[in-house]
Amino acid sequence: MGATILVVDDEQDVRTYLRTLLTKQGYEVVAAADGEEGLEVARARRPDLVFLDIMMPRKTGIMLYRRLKKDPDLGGVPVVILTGLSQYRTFFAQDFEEVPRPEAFVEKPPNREELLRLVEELVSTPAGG
Amino acid sequence: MDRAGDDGTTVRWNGPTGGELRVQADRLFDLVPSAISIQDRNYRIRKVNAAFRRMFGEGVGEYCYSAYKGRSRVCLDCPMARTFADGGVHSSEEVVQTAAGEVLHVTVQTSPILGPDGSVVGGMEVMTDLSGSTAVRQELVLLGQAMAGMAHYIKNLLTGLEGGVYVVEEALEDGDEGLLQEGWEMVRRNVERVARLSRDQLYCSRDRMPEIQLVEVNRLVCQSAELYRARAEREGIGLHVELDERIGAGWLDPEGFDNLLTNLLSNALDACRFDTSKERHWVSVKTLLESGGQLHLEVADNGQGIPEKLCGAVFSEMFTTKGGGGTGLGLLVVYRVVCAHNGRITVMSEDGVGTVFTVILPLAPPGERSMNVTVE
Repeated sequence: MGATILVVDDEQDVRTYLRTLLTKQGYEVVAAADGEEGLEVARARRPDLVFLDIMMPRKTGIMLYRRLKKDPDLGGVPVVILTGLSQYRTFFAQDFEEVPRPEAFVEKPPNREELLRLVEELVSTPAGG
Repeated sequence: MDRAGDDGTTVRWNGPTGGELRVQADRLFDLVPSAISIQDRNYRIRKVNAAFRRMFGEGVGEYCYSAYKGRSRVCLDCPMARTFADGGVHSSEEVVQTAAGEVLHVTVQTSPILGPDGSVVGGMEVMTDLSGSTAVRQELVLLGQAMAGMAHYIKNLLTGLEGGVYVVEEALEDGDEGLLQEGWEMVRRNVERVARLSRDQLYCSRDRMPEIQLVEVNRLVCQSAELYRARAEREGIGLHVELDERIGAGWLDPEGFDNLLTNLLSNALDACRFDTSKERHWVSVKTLLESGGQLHLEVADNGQGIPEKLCGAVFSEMFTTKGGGGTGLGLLVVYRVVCAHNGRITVMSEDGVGTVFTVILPLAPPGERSMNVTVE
């Protein structure tokens, strides 16, 4: 079976875009529109990879990131941060001193080939999967 | 051809149509629009021109640091001091206070006056008001911030557009009608955002002259505010509109005013949307008739606020937060509209507490206005 990818972004267009792109590649995609929903879905579905929009209203993106990284079950799930801010890498350090850094940053709009290569790299499929 | 006057005190030139242009030589001194003072080595003012008198009063006999700045000692880094020291021309930017109490941002140039033995016996100080260029500088700061905010808007827009195109192509390949609809919606939505950005940019590039007309002020405010009621409800933010009934008709540019109000409202709603410190959020719009007959418009919110260090830099943080579809040009548009009306805008904000924008606009017919634009 393909791996499960969770896409968390408050922009509907981003969710549709990534869902279509990743489904085509054989992945199973689940989506959430904010951090709270994202956490629920993550706990229920145990994704193999999370795409997370860090700039969402009421800081729910930042909240979700922290919860994921500190969670005993989900802490090992690779997280790719989606951002429209090219300087975000520098801002990031201030928000996340006490948690591990994300596996990758992807700037919007994403380059499709690069994004898919990144997903392949980060998603570890169980032997025989 | 230049010719010194026969009597040595008149300067004459041939005019363009053959006639003569004559100016008394010492009148030239008074015609210069910059304030000029001639000082001796003790910084005592010996002679001033008409522009100086208009700005600072008589001045002759006073110390220059007293006349220009109300000080009792030579200013640190005084350009005149440098001129006295090396006999060269020096310049600086200063803040001075006029006799009327107005604080001005000026550029100062000092040059030496040499005695018969070639030593520096005094100096000439020429002072020019920079307020025209201060406004330009302010605009550049706002524009720079607007560009940063726009980059964010454009990235989301491009993602939506590229995404839409991709989804449409995949749908066509697969013959998937439902997916085709979704993809097409994405394209359509983002084309609309392109249109919005273009409109804001056109407005900012001054393609449009303000059309000041007689309008029902409160009605205008109401119309713009009501457009946001649905959005406010959706986001659980209270929207309060309080109109001063004494305001009837006034002279405003309705399109510009609408742009101003919608941008302030949109920003206020965004500020609430991004605030995590409170349970309940509200945005309020108020109109008040000021004693001078001007419109006092206030847009306030209890959203995330603007950090203090950024308030001075004017509006910058708002540009980097996402959401609400703001193009990043919003506050630049607001500033331009205020300028076009010869109005005034101030912002008060506290990080985590909220923000109040206060806009004062004259309501008198153009030609009867006399306010200057300031941003505080």
